[in-house]
Amino acid sequence: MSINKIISTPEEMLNVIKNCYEGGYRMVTATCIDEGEVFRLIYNFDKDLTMINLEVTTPREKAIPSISDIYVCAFLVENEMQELFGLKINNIALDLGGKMYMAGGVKKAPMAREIKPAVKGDE
Amino acid sequence: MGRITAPFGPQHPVLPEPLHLNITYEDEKVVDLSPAIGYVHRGLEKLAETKEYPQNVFLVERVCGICSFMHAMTYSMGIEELMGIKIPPRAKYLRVFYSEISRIHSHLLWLGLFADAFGFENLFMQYWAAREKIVDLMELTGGHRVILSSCAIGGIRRDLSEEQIKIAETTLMHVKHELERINPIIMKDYTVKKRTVGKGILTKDDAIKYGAVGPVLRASGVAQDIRQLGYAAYGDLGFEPIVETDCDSYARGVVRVKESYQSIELALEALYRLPEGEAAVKVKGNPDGETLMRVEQPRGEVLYYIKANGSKNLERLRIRTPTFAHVPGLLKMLPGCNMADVPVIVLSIDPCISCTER
Repeated sequence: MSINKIISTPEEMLNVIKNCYEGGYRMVTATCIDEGEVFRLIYNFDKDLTMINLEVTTPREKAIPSISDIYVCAFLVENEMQELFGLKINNIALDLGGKMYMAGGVKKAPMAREIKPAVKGDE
Repeated sequence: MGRITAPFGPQHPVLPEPLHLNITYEDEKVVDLSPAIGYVHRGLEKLAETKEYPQNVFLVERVCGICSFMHAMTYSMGIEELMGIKIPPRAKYLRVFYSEISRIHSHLLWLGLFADAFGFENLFMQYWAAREKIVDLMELTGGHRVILSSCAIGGIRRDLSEEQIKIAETTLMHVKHELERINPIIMKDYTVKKRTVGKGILTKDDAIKYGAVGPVLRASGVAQDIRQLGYAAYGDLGFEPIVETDCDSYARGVVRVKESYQSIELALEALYRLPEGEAAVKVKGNPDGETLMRVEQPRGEVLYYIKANGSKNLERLRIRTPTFAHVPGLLKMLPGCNMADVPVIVLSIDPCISCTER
């Protein structure tokens, strides 16, 4: 798998994805990978069976903008990432409020790794 | 005009899948809706991280009963790419055979349910009787009716004998003749057209914008089928996607009807040209790296993202199933339609919520 572009800021992410949309690309999906201190997100787009893979890395606590006002279909995968990983996403077109899979709402993101707080003397 | 909001599902007579739509109606017209799922989420992606990578072949088969072989195949193809495994030519052709009989099984199941959705119960029984022959064929060749467990990393676990190949060819020809008898009803009948033509329109632009895949995408005029990438033996067999341009529920049905014939031809061709030799190679070591793998399932494109670290356990397995891509499209197809058309339109995407939630 090759990453076509590594994106460094949310603004750049929105611009690049808007270009994909205007270029007639279909959004395939997005994948969240928990890498400890950061979440790594891979967005996949397709046109005529050629894929574009975009990578964004974001600190765990920092919110990223939703792309659902560009690709409406992104709302479902964004809700999933929000619920399963605890990734914060702003302004999802249809925000299910953490109740996509769990009717009672999410108490703890089940796919996220547990980050243990540093204990004094560990260093 | 008063507005009311009423639930469609999760238990609905026409839909065995637990899809829940909160639909707002103005008189009998749909004006808004909000989808809700979450009734069959099993956490399979998380579970895959705790299993050893060869065990995951059996795990991903359980993502969906109907597409079980193709889930196993997509996962196996991903692991094979990471480990640099070249599977034998015979395994490539057998993978096409099993994929195509799975597609026939799925399309006939859907055509029967579709007929049932608009009240044509006799047609429902005719399709399911034809499908039963395919399920028998699966049992004969794979040993099971639904979860075949025929696919393995490195090839195919169960090779076919000469006798099984002959029975498979006869069965496929029999099903083809049955479909030639049944299909004209669904394609030409006045009542069927009345219930489906012009219902649930998804234009070509909207199909791309809403991320549609598979028969829904092709019924909106987009000539895209992941089999065109040539994985397994599709590159050798010659293949053109079935495309319709009417963008409605009827067109989605027509695509599936035509694809059923095409799948019979592809399965037969794979058997006629089945190379001699081994059906699998031995696999040693552990996968390392990350990959994306796509396969055309009966409902459309499935995508697997696999991240491995050289150990027996995967770091991440992500599965985007076709219905996950179809649910947003309902937000475009349903508004403006009549209440009575909702079940037919929802069924036209061939929803599988078991896949969607994993």
